[in-house]
Amino acid sequence: MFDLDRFLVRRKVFRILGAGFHVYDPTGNVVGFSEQRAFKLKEDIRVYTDDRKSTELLSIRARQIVDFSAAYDVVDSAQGKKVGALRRKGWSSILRDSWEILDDGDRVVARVREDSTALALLRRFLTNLIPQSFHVIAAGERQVARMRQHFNPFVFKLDVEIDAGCPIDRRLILSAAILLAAIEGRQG
Amino acid sequence: MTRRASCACGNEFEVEDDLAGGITNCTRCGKAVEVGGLKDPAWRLLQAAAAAGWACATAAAYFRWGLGGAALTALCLAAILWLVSRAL
Repeated sequence: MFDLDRFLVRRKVFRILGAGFHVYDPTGNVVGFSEQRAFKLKEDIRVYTDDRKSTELLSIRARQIVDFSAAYDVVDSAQGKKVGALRRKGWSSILRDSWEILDDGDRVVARVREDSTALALLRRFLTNLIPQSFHVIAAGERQVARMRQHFNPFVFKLDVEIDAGCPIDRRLILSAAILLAAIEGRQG
Repeated sequence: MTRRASCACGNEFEVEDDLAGGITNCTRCGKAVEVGGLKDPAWRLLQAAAAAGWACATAAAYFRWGLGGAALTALCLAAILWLVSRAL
């Protein structure tokens, strides 16, 4: 799953507790499943190879309970190693969703930003029917990936496209997409 | 500010305070290690509320059933709180 240049994250519709997300490859095959666990004070999201949860790939866990400017650590479950973290920039995200991608030493390696401030304001104050788009910007202000929400008021779908020479760990980009679907998608 | 983290391999090392409640890699074996000590105020508030509730219930049990009742209540509540904290 981590070598894909394009994938789609789709929120599972009929789910009472927690949240579930399927990850599809460009041909429409399920290549992963993510589960946001219910009844957890701290956000706890797991990524599996399929929806039977046969093999856990990643674990995404919040450091704190209050998630205003929370950081989420991403651990490769197979290797048992932290691959990095994602930190939501709380104040900036009030007007325009903004995240930082950190490496395993907590150094910022990229930023994830909502496409435009004007559209972000329209989404917040007028209608949330306008789909969100995010840019992943690495060092040197180079855009290395894009995430685009589909226009669908009922099902959250996020299309992710990664450039060929993207220097960011793809596990972190997948985690960012799932977090955006789980955390920012919840605000809609 | 820094705090200490300890790995199952026996290594103890310093980490930045920002990592409190999070995960870091062990400086010796490289495996993911949980950093204890949540600096989160909401977590502290919850812990304080649980401790206050535990003390009040134990005191109430003491006045109602005496020392044996208080000890049993304290033990049962501690077990419940431990189970809940594990589940969270």
